[in-house]
Order: sequence, then structure tokens, then C-alpha cells
Amino acid sequence: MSPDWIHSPAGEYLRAAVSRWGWSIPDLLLQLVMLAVVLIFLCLSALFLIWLERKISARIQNRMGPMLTGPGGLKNGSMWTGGLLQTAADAIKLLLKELIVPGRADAVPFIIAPILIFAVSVTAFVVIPWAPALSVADLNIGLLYIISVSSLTVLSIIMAGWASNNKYSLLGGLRSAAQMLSYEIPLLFALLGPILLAGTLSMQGIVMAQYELGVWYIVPSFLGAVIYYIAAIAEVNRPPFDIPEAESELVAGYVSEYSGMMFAMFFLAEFSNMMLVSAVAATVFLGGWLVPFMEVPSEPSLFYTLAGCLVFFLKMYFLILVMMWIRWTFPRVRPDHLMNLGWKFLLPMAFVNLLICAVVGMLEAYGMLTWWKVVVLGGVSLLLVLSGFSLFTRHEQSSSPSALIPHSQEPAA
Amino acid sequence: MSPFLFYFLAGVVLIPALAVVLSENLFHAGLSLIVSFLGIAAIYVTLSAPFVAGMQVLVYAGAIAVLLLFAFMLTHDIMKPLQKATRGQQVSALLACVLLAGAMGRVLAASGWELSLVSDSEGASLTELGLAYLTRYLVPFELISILLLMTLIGAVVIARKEEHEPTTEFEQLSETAEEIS
Repeated sequence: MSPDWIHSPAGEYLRAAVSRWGWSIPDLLLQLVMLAVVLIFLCLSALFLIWLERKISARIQNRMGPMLTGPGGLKNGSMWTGGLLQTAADAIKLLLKELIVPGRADAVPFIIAPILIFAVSVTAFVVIPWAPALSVADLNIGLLYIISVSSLTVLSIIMAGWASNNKYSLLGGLRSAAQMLSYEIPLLFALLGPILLAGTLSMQGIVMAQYELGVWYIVPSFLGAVIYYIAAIAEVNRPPFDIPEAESELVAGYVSEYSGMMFAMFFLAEFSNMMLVSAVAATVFLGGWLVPFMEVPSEPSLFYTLAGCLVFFLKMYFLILVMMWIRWTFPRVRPDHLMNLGWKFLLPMAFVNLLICAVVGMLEAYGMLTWWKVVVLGGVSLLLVLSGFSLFTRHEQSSSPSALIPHSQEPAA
Repeated sequence: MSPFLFYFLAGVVLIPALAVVLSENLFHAGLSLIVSFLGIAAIYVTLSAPFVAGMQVLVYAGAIAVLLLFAFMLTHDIMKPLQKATRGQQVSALLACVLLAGAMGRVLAASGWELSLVSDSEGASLTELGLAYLTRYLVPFELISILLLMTLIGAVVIARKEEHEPTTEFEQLSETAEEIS
């Protein structure tokens, strides 16, 4: 598992830069440096994204604070830089706040939970392919690694909900456990199609397989991309699937009792999880670092590394931006609708996606794959999504919410 | 694998496992169980079986143990300290442990510690694993899938509402209307 990127232009450049000072560095140290770079990137990027989200929401809702704090004049607030320092001000505020552990809380899980949730999402970033041959470690079980590590996120939410010893936190924890366990299944099955096509779980391998196929996997596996994106929004508890922390009914759900930096850890984790699912979607469905209309050089060149990195970030940020757009556009989903959507619509559709991908894979294996067949299959999957969704919404509109309530609790007719 | 690493990981597996049995707080027992599962996954990694390790984390730590915790949270009076186990329970638990240890010891003694299946230091590739499941180990693989299917159907049957029980408000109303007429 010796990482290839150490011998890539970026690694060589780093080594050359250090040897100019008369040092030579072992590979392991380089790997640690890379890990630190990723970690710093994550923190800075989360900071930036929080600012971006508040800026956009402030624009949409015409709020003052996030538009005015910082350079650009306190009076008028410039269009772009106004509000730039809002996140920094928030971070300083949160750092200075006292960490309060409620008296009857279960102290150890209460403190571990926010650390665990952020640690888990950072750990998952290890295998993300930023550019050709540039990832902290290119494990041959890459995608499985991401899925299995991030399945521990729900654990820290349950821990937080339980340990707070607060009924709203507990309800939030319960809801999130139900939601995340249910949506993990369509999420996994949506990824199975591209895995089948790529024939590998390695993240770099999946990108290269898309290069060899000639189209990004969003074309043969359009259905899978849609299912993955919906399920991913539910996995990271973003609106409209934020019922675990629905503020109008649960105060703040499992984060109700948290203060100061512990609260900030949950906040950071939410944004880095957003980045994680977007990075996975960009890799698996949008071709990762593949630059459109450009040949991948056989020897990694510095130019392609930089271009690939830039393209990857653009794809990732586009997906994040769409998530923000969805958040500020749609109302929260009702819990029973949420469960039905996952189990009755997304899961069967994910099976259909797997079938379509299997057909594409067979055609490719027998050398009978032409681009128009891919487009036709993509069109078929688009039609299936639309017809399936209209069937599902019709079914949902006719079902009443009382079906969810156990009989003993139903009011007497 | 260095012996130090192995002993460390064995500690990560065994100490939380003891805590699972001895802890009076069910929730803490559940959390310790997860730590134990993660330790086992780490041992799989050192044995060059990253796929099995990933599955261990995904299925045991990420799904089964989380479901356990989920069930604990729905249990009544979970915050109260547990009742002490009775003498009879303790003795029968000890007996069961001894029997299990004996059976496992026999199996371990009978195995010749044949480790030649995988020679690759990177661990078995996924392709090899998939081929092994569908050729050499086809029958156990299919048996497990039948077992899982049976469990699934069993769970659906248990969770399903009785047929005569009205499921929606409308059906309830129509039943009362029938009774009145």
C-alpha cells in the first residue's frame, strides 16, 4: 500500500524542496504531511463553507449579520467580502465559551461523542483521490472503507443523544438512528452499480475505469447518482431530511445540551460530512479528477495534477452548492414520508440501477458497447425515475399519517 | 505483525469484552461491545484481510451494535441500575462459558493452522474472494443467503400487523359503521 503520489510530481517537488535544505525525508513522514494538509484543508474549507452558507441564506432571507461583518464597510456591506469575518467571530466566541457537561449527563460518552463524529469524518477522507495518484492512501477497498468508517457517525449521534439525559436529545438520537440506518441501504446499493462497472473498490481505480469507459458513470448509472445524492443528504442530516435536529419540535435534537467547542465539533462534522459525500459523488459519478476533453498523460505531469485537482474541487463544490440550494428551498419531510421514501422508492430504484449497470457491464465485456446504447440506457433510467416517483407520490398522498401511530395511542374515534 | 501490536489489539478486544459482561449500565456495555468489534477489525487488518475488516466495521460495529443501542434507548427504565444476577444465572452462565471454551478449544486444536490460502502480502484481492465464494465455497455461501432470507421473512411476519386489524382511520371508521348497522 505504498502510496503512488510520493513518486508523483507533487511528492517529488516536496522532496526536492526539502532536500534543498539538506534533509531527506522518509516516505512515512511525507504521508503524515499529506494527512496534515488534508486535515488543514478540511478545517479551512468547513470554515469557508459555513461562511458561504450563511452568506447565501442571508442573501435569500435578507439578514444583516452575515452580510456586514468584516471588510467592505460596516455601513453598506460589500456584495462579496461583507460577512467574511462572521465565521471567524463565531469560532472565537465558541472557543471562549465554557464547556458545560450537564450534572446528570453520562459524562464520558457525552464528551467522546463530538470528538468521535469529527474524527470519523476526517478518517474517511484518507482515500479521497484529489488528483491522479494523489491521495493519502489508495486502499484497494477504498469505497468500502469510506462506507464502513462513516457508518460509525450514527454511533456518535446516538451517544450524544443518550448521554445528554434530555428527552429531546434522546428523541433526536432515536430518529437519527432510524433514519441513518434506513438510508445507508439505498446509499450502498446506489454505489454498487458503479462498483460493478469499475470492477474495483479503489477510488483511483474507479476514476481510471471511467476514463477507460469514455463517459462518467452518471450517464449509465444516472438513477444511481440521483439515489445516492438523495440518500447522502439524508445521511448527513441536512434539510429537508433534518428531522433528527428539527428545531421547531426538538429544540436542537441531539446537540441541545452541547456548548462551546463541543457544539462546534458537531457543526464542523456536519460540513466535513457534506464535503465527504460530495467528494464521493464527484469521484464515483462525475469522473473525479478527470478533466473533460483531455487525455490523461501516462506519466503524471504537474500540469495535469493541478488541473485535475482544480476540476475535482469544482465538481465537489458544485454538489455542495446544490445541497445548500436544496436546503433553503424545500420544507422538512414528514418522518413517515421519509421512511417510505427510503424503503419503498429509493431501494427498489437502486435495484433497477444495479440491473442497468450490469447490462452496461456485460455489453462492455463483450465489446458491444457503443455510446448510443449508453445514452439509451441512461434515458430508460431517467424515465424509470420519473414514473416511479410519480407512482410513489400518488401512493404517499393517499396514505394518512395515522398509519404510523400504534393503535393503543390513537385517539378514540 | 509485531507481537507488541498483537497484544495491544488483543487488549483492545478483551478488556471492553469484559466490560460488556460486567458493566451494570446496559448502554455502556453496548458501547464497549463496539470498541471490542473495532479491535477485531484492526486484527483483521494486521492479518492482511482489509475487506473482512471493512465488513466487520460496517456490519458489526456500524449496524448490529447500533441497532442494539437503538433497542436499549426504546427500553423502559434503562437508566436504573440493573438487577443483580441470581446465583442460578451465574452458575449456568459459567457452565455455558466452559462448554463453549471447550468446544472452541477442540476446533482450534484440530486445525492445522493452515495459512497458505493467501500468500499475497497485500491480502486476498476482491476478485479472488468473489471467485472463492462462487466456486469453492458456493454451498455455504448459498446456505447463508437462505438463512438470511428466512430471517428476513420471519422479521416481516413478526412485525406485520394482523390482517383483521384495521390499519387506517378510514378502515376503522368503516368497521364501526358496519358494527352499528
